Amino acid sequence: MDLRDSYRNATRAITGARMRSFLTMLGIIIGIAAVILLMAVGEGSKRDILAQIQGSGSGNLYLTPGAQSSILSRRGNGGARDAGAKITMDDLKEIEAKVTYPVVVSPTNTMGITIKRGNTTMAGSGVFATETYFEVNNVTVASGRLLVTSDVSNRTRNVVIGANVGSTLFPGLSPLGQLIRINGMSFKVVGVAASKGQSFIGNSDNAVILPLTVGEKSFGIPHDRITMTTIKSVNPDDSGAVANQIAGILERRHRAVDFSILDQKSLTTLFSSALSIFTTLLAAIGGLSLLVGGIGIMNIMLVSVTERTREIGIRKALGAKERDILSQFLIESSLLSGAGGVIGVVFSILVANLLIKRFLPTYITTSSIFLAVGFSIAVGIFFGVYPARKAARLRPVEALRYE
Amino acid sequence: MDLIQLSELRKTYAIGGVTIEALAGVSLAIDQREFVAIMGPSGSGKSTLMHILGCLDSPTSGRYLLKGKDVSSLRSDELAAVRNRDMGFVFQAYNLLPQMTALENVMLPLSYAARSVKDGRRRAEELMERVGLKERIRNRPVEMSGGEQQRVAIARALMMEPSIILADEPTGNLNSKGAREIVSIFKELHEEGKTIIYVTHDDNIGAQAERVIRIRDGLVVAEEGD
Repeated sequence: MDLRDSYRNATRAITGARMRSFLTMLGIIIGIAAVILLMAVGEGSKRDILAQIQGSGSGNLYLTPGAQSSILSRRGNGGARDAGAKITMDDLKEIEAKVTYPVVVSPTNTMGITIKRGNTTMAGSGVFATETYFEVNNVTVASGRLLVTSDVSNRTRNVVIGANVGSTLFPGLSPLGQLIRINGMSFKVVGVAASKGQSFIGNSDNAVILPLTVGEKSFGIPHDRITMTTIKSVNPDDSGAVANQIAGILERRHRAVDFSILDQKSLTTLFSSALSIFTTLLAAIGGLSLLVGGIGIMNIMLVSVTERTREIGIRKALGAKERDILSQFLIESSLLSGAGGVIGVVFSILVANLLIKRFLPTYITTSSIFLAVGFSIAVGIFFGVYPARKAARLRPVEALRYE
Repeated sequence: MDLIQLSELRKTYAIGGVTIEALAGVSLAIDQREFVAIMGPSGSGKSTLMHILGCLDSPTSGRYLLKGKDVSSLRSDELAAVRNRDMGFVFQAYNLLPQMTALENVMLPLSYAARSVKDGRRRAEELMERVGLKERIRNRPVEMSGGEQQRVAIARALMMEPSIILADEPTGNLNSKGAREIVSIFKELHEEGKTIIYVTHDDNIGAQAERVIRIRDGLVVAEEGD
């Protein structure tokens, strides 16, 4: 039987039972859409985060205590670390003194905090920093002022709040000069940062920037341990040489490589591999619903084989071999799932662009589309094999006798 | 050489632990260009015999020589090839595929042919004309009377130019006018040199054949012929 005949037979069988075919395809449509959309969200977040890393300033180096191998398992909360592995203010002073290129050093500790004003409470992140934080991270104030040297040296209870903290706690009001409570302690708002949106270290709009020195005095952050130091080279081309100099200085001081220096490129690699795992995981979750869709196809193909027992008998009487019947039903099931896959792709592109894009970053890759359609056809063949074999092996006499 | 030669053909079924012997040792020969009616009461084994003759089923034991070749132990795909090439089936319930037009039904055996057939469509159209349904080639089975459907089925049976036309109660679902038309087509085909074998329990239809083989309890009990 030639391919065009087979194709026509299959489309006739599918369009002959429109509602049933549609419902069967719906399982595949939803499965494929789930795979593509979840992958699109994963890929979108990945691109978003990587773009933020790219945009975070190409001359920036990120210095953290501990060797690089464990970098992903540590997220800064200002708590205790492996004994010995620490970066102190003296380390940083030495770096500032000895690095021969112009640099700006910004030490930070970060912890989760509760921010409260009156009856309004919100969760945010507390960034304990010095006056250099703003320059290094390109943070400007929308109103008020930045933290200055004296805030840090005098341990003032002055803070700069993120845009979102301002609008949540002070709806329609100016927060400047007002008091807020952070983990139960009173602080005065001296500035509101301009909105920056989500960044790879968290949402800076939900952050409160406090003087570094307040951290160890009032928040229990260990004395003289800096979780994350950003070093900005004034001339971005210097950053490679700067990284080498810092490594040399710290190695001499610590007599060990108990620190890591990440530049933008290594950060990109690091996040990129971690986020790819995340995307794969999301795709696997979507794949589960595709599996359910495949079982739907098998179910309906079994019904179809039973209903068309007589047709199978007639075809066999006219000379159809087992492989003719097998391929007839396989073509039908793969056409059903392939069409479901194509509709699923179109559907997910629409949903991603019209709906999900408003809430989450999405990016549909061409490879995810080919993967999805290919996978859906594979599902049709895989789940079509059993019913098709059942049909192919029917004995002609019994099939003809079937009412 | 006989077209069909059966010797000691047996077919047994096991149904619920009980063994039923549908054919209990049938031996007979049918020559080319014969017009044979196989007759017998229901349960006599005539349908089983028909299925084995048509290579739709295999005997439990015994030998079936078709054109001198033993077909009793062929594999299912080899039997399928024999059915496609040598057999033209006409069934009581017509057995046309409802989703296809009359012409597509006639052309269906082409899909399973070992070799591609030239001008298959034109041949199908000629066969439709031959059974007097030239105007109905685009109609689907539901739009046709029983007699018309059976004529389409005969055209389909002729498509691959088989040596044998096998018909199982071909007039069983038809009124007397329809039945007469079908029988007269069979007679014409016989005169053109086809071998016709049909199963019937209708004495009037059976009497139209040249030779009648009577079956009872899985055995040939009588033969009448010209």
